[in-house]
This record gives sequence, C-alpha cells and structure tokens, in this order.
Amino acid sequence: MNCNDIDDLLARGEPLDTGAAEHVASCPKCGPLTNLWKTSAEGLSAEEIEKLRHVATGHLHPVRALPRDRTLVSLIFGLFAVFCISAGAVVTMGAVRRAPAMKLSIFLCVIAACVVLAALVTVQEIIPGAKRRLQPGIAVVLIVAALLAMPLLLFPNFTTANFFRWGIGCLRVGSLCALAAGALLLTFTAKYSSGSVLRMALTVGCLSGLAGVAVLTLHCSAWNVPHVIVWHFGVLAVGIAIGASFGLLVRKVKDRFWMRLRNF
Amino acid sequence: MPVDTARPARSRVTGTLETLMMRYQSADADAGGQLVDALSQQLFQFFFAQVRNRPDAEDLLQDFWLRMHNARATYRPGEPLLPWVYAIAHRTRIDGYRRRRRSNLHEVADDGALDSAAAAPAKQEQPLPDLLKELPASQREVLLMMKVSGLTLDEVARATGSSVGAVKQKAHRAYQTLRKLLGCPA
Repeated sequence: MNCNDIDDLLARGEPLDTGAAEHVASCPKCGPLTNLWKTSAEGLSAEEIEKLRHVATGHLHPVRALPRDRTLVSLIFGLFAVFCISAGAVVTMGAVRRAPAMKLSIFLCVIAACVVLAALVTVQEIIPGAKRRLQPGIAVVLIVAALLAMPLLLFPNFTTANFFRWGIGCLRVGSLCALAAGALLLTFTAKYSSGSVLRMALTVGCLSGLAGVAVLTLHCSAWNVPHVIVWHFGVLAVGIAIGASFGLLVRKVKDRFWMRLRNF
Repeated sequence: MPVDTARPARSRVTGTLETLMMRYQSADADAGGQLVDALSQQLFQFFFAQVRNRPDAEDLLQDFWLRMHNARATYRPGEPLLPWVYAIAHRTRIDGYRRRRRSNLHEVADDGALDSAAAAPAKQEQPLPDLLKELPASQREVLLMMKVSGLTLDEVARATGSSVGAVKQKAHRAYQTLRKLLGCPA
C-alpha cells in the first residue's frame, strides 16, 4: 500500500481497509489528507432548526409522486401527438393528401423518435437526481442530425421556387404552433421543476420546436430540401431561442425577487 | 492518527429517510420535521464549506427546504433519497452563487465606486480548512458530498448530473491538489 493507492481509495469513496489504515497512521503525507474532514462549522441551533421546520411543513398537503420515466415520456408523447393532430386539422393537412405515404410515414416516425429523445431529456430535468440515460448535448446532436438527414434522403430536390413566399408562411404557422405547444408543456413542467430554469426552458423550447416541425410536415407539401431545412427546421431553432430567452428572463426575475427579499 | 471513515452520516440515517419522505409526501408534518432534523445539519455543513459564511449558508439551507417542499412530488418511493436531496442542494448552491455574485455587482454599482471589500468573499467565521478554498467549486462539491455527507460515487454522479467516471476524476484531481497544497505529493 502506498500514497497513490490511498489516493485511489479516497477518490472511489471507499472506506480504508486495515492495510490502508496502517499506511495512513504511519505516513506523514497521508495523515493530514484524511484528517481534513474532521474540522467543521458549528452546527445549527435548535431555534434555527425550528425555523426550518416551519419552512418545510408550512402549507403542507398530500402530493402524489410522479410516475416512472417511461410513463412520463409516454404522457408527453401522447400530449404531443394529440396537439400535432389537432393543430394539423386546424391549419389543414395538405402533405397527407399530396406527399407519398411511405416517405411521409418515415419522416413522421423520425420526428416521433426525436420527440421521445427530447421527452426523455425533459423528464431527466424534472426529476432531481435522476439517472442520466442521455446527456442533453448528445440528444440535441442526434435530433439535429436525424432531421437534417431526412429531406436529403427522402426527397433530394433542391429547387428554390417561391422560397421566401412559401417559406415565411411556413415559419409563421410553425412558430405559432411551437408557441402554443410550449405554453402547454410549461404548465406541465413548471409545476414540478426544481432544477435549472434555463435548461428546463431549453428542453421545453426544443420539444415545442419539434411540435412546430411536425405540424408543418403534416401541413406543407412543398417538399424540397432548401425549403424544409430553412423554414421548417428553422421553427426548431425559433423554439430553442424562445425557450432560452424565456428561461433567462424567468431566472433574472427570480434573482431580482430574491435580492429584493434579501434587502427587505 | 484517526482513520478516514468514508460515509459518516449514512449509517445514522439510511433506512428511515426514504420512509420519512414518503410520509412527508402524504402531508405528515411530523415526518417533515424529522426530515429537517435528520438532514439540516449535514446540509448546513455542505453549504457552509462552500460559501464559508454562516448567514449565507443559512439562507441557502432555507432556500433548499423551500425547493424541497415545492418539489416533493418528484421524489419516487423506492428510490434512494440522498441523491435526490443533494441534486436539489447542488442546484440551490449554483443559483445562490449566481445571485450573490449579481448582488455584489449591484452593490458595487450602487456605491458608484469599486469597493474591494464588497467584491471580496465574505469574512470567514469558522471555516473548513483553508485548503478547500483552493479547489475549484465542482471538485470541492464532489469531495464534500462524499466525505461530509457520505454519498457514494454513484449517488454523487446522480446528484450532480454527471457520470461516475467524471466524479471519480474530479475527486482524484482534488486529492492531488490537496496533496500539493499540504506539501506532500504522492
């Protein structure tokens, strides 16, 4: 047993066995390191604990624990599907009538898979200390890559006829749908969120952007690569940007409120 | 020479904490009080070691209990409680740091002149060894969760939203830095 082994044991958080304890007892280099944790601040007084009890038990009412991740993801997915079909019915589903059924199905399946990924990240953000099955950064890269691949593989048509005229209309419809979906999702997620406001707003923004993309996929039959990438997927960027701005705004308002409360 | 025991708090509380939390979810105020008794001291040590200022640590602890109260539905019965608790504490610390930094900036702006005393960290009262101050916040937090609060590597990873490997690496680097600061490289 040497000092490096002690470092490894400490880094793994394992208790020291007899050999390690003997080394620590005899080594002038390791003794101080293991004694660092003996010093601590004076604890809380009974009065302070009583105050905290009031904080923790004030306005107490029964709550139901959130269901399992799988159920939550299914719930978000279900809400998403209902929203997209309803919004598609309102703005008309032109693509369903005109686009090739097989290609449209594949595109919708890929969007559905992206929604499942985004929902999984959202659920991870809602539950503190949840096991990280998927890092948010990886999820975003996968979603963007999958979406970009779709028009290139399914309809490699690069015409730019009516690029702005049709495009601005699509962006407007998609952004409005994304805003509505974001508002709907926020009512569900804000109630439980105790983590980072910004990250939560970003994931909700991503999900609502995907809702806009899904509605446009059902609505718009202008299937050419530049139009879909710029104007349809632009809705996803709009959703993420609005989510980030909203998250920053909420965080700033919360911080200001906290500072006023503190000064008061 | 006293030997390091890796999990000081765990042996006292595990087994009952999860049950108390479930009762707390069903609006049992007595269980809530017991949770406060069981967790507040170790959480206070956790916050104090990072902000090194008693009033700030008390503010953070109060903020933590408010958050825990609001988010109690997100605890799932059967899951270990400490990663959930420390994930909320982790976020409370980060938000608290940002607010204090912003608050310090405001105070400086209000005064109209840069006051070095206002920008400097708050006065120490009864700190953990000064050595801990030298560690980056993320490494210090990992060590405190492991050594003061008694969390396992997996639990620290869940609480901080990172992988077990990343936590182990942070702890390892922190110990190497501490060794250098103690003047006893391995």
